[in-house]
Amino acid sequence: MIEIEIGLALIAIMAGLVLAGVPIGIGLVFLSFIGIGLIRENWDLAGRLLALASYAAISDYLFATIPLFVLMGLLVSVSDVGKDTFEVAQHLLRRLRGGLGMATVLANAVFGAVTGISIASAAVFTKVAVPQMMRFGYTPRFAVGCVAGSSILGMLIPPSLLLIIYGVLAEVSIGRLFLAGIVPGLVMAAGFMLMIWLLATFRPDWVQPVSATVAPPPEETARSLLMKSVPITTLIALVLGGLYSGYFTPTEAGAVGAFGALVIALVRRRLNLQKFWRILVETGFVSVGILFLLIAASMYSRMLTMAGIPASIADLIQALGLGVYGFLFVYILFVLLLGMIIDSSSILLIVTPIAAPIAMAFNLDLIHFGIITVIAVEVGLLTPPFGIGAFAVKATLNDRRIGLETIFAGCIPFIVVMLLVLALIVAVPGLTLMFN
Amino acid sequence: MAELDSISDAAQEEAARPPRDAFGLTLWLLNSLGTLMIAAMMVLIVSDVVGRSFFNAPLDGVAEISAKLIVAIVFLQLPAAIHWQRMTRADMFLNRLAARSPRAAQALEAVFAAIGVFVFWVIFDATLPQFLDSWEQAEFFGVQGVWTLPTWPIRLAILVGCAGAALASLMQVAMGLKRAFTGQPA
Amino acid sequence: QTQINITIAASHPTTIAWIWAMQQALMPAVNQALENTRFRIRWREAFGGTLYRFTETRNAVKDGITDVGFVGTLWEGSAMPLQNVTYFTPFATDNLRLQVDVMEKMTAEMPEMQKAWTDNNMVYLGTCGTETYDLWTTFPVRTVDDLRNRKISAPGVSATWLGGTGAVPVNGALTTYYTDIQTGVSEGTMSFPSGIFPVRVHEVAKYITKVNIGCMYVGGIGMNRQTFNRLDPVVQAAFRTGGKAYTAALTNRVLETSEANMKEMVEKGAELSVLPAAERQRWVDGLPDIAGDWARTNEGRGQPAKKVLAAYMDGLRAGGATPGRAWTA
Ligand code: NA
Ligand code: NA
Repeated sequence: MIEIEIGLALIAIMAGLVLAGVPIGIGLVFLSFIGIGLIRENWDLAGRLLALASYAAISDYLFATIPLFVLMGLLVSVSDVGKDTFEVAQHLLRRLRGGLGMATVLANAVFGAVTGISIASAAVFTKVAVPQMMRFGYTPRFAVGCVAGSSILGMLIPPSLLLIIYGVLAEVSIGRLFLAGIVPGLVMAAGFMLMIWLLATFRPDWVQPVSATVAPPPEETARSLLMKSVPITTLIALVLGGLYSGYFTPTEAGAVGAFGALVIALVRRRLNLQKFWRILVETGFVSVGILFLLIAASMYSRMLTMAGIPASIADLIQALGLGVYGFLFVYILFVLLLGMIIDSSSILLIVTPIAAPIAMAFNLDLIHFGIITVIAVEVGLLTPPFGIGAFAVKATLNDRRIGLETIFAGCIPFIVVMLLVLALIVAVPGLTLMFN
Repeated sequence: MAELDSISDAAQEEAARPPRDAFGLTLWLLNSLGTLMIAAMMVLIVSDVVGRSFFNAPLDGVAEISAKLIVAIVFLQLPAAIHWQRMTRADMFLNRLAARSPRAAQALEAVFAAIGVFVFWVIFDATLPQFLDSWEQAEFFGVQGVWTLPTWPIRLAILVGCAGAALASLMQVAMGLKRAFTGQPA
Repeated sequence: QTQINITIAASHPTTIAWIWAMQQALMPAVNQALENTRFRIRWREAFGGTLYRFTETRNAVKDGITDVGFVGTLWEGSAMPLQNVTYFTPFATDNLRLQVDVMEKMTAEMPEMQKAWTDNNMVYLGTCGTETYDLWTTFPVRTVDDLRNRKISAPGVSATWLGGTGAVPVNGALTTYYTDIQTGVSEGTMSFPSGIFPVRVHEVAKYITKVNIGCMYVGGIGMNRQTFNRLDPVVQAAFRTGGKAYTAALTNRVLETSEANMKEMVEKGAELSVLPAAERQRWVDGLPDIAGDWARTNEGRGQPAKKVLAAYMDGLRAGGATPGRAWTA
């Protein structure tokens, strides 16, 4: 079983390279090439597989809409829609301890209804919420952790790129998956807010060691609140309304949402040609980072498949002869481990085709199983060394004083809540099947 | 914390302006082409939605064209992302190393960049025959009799992107080595 | 004892009949054929798209990324156009066994058909086809006019089958039909029972109208030519046997599943009807010259499409079928 040893060795080397600071995509392509060359003893073949994957791995309508979700996020940010949403939430929660943190969660939950990818939420709220929280004496660690942590709501609350990918792989209705994500998304948001309140009350040093010394935010009137709620409400109505009344598909929501955000930005006079160009260029930089990672991750997972890693793990899980909860436990653990080293869509590509038939054999509903899978996968957005949610915050923040390790540390309480909610959803399938 | 905003705003503004040097300008133009394609894709999809929903006249091939365009977009923008160091990475270790030994950090940067030169050369080399095939055999995508488009421009974009990415990485190798030897900070 | 490593892969999971038959018919048949020989195959399975996506099925076998693979020629309109003759001759036959037979014979005996596989560095082993296409809609279809201005999920070449009906073809994929129809992005689709049943479209489009748009040749099992040539003749023969077993098992499976699935859909409340013969003929007569256009386009690209078209139609007639339209070029 020499292939498996090569595969395992390359996983270890990958972790080392990432920690050493090699650009992650390039490191993955490099290891894929080495791995395939060694496993097949054919370096031409390894090169051809790289070329094939470069051309085909992300050549899909689904991936094509990623830049459009990013564009929507940046437009929402520049037209202050994100900021307004945040300020409304801030006002509503102003009397609670940790209110700004809760406002970030709430705003993310609302924003999650229009965006399909978490990094869009992370990009928007890094710019909107982090400076605000730090102004009010929140620790940088908590502020960035809060933004990264609550950004996962963007892919749990529909529309969601991960749910689309899972639906395609497991051959279950994406519409039903979307409905199934609503309640867990709301439970997750509530869990985050409760955790923030508990932390702010019992461990204020972690959240907000010094109380605000700056002037409180301007008093909101009913009118100002209304005015600030109109843009996000319009955008949600456009995206969700259009989706559920059949004007467009979940895949098309990114384009329609971006277009809607563009119109809002124009109406609010926040955009000239120069600024729009700047946003488009930034969209390109953010998306190429993500999409190239997806290409590289696809090469890497193909290499692991050639090494027989997923197959032997499936064999292992089957050989353990577990019951349904034992299986779910091992499965979730496996997804969490994968989440530390590869990206979310690659995890889905690797585990779903193997795990879905096993889940069916255990009489698990594939919709329920999908939500379990997606939450477990999303934890990986926040875990080092490869945590794309933390990377997105870091990339948007562009501040050398706040390192990746600070962001990862800030995510820990959010990961704890995610695991608790995950356990709850495993125990109570009804939470996902309410609308089905 | 207003400077948090201004830092990334300044970086964004700089990226949006065409640079002066020929190599930088070339990469900037490739990147801009990809950027325009993103905007075009938004227009294309929204037109399809509107045409289908309100005029019973969908645009043919939007899904397939977007699926191919995205590949071209990524590879056209890759060289710029590498050149302006926007590739995602974990810099904790490098930052600490740079604080203790800037020369070692620069040498390590050169090694990482060399890996980039290597992988983009490999992809370029393996894509070249595919490009020639697609050109000679007039390979297309789409549906015969409805609409078809050639695939060679997409493969050409991969070639151009890999060449640009390899060159951008090569410049970083040179830069890293120079700084490692002279001890000049980044 | 000689152990041979063979990678067998597919872009889709084994829950789909096309791939199921690789694991449940081809592999056991090869193993069995080698039972009393000194050869053993050590299979390395990579089903479910973990090694490559559906757009790469030809390249994956051609380049040796897998040794044996399911090749969907329906996705290879550019590189293997002649294999797609069935998609451009709709309403030709609902006899899957006959169609599989005709296509397998043409592939074996016509150098023009054989060439597509050889040129792509592959050895052809087995054949894959679907049962006939029908309509699943949110509204009853009694005449062709009922389709006018209706949005029908019909991606790719199937859009041409709606030519002349006034229906609006909408893009999508098997996995998006349910949502698309449920929300109103489209109002129905053309499909076949064994394909559509697992995605439960009958829950949202309960009117099933038997139209008999025809069976379609999807592709087949290809083996990398270098891998094949390196094998001992005994092992080569075993793979040929495996390919035959694949074709037979798959065709049986598709027909059985199709019948069972249709029955279950009706039991669960779908309303089954048959489009009257005269209306079907109106639909057929209203179609543009799909096959002729296809043949002329490909002749222009240096492909002997006219000859293949004629051979296919003649083969069907010789087998006793009466195509709804005498497609010629
Ligand atoms: Na969402
Ligand atoms: Na992670």
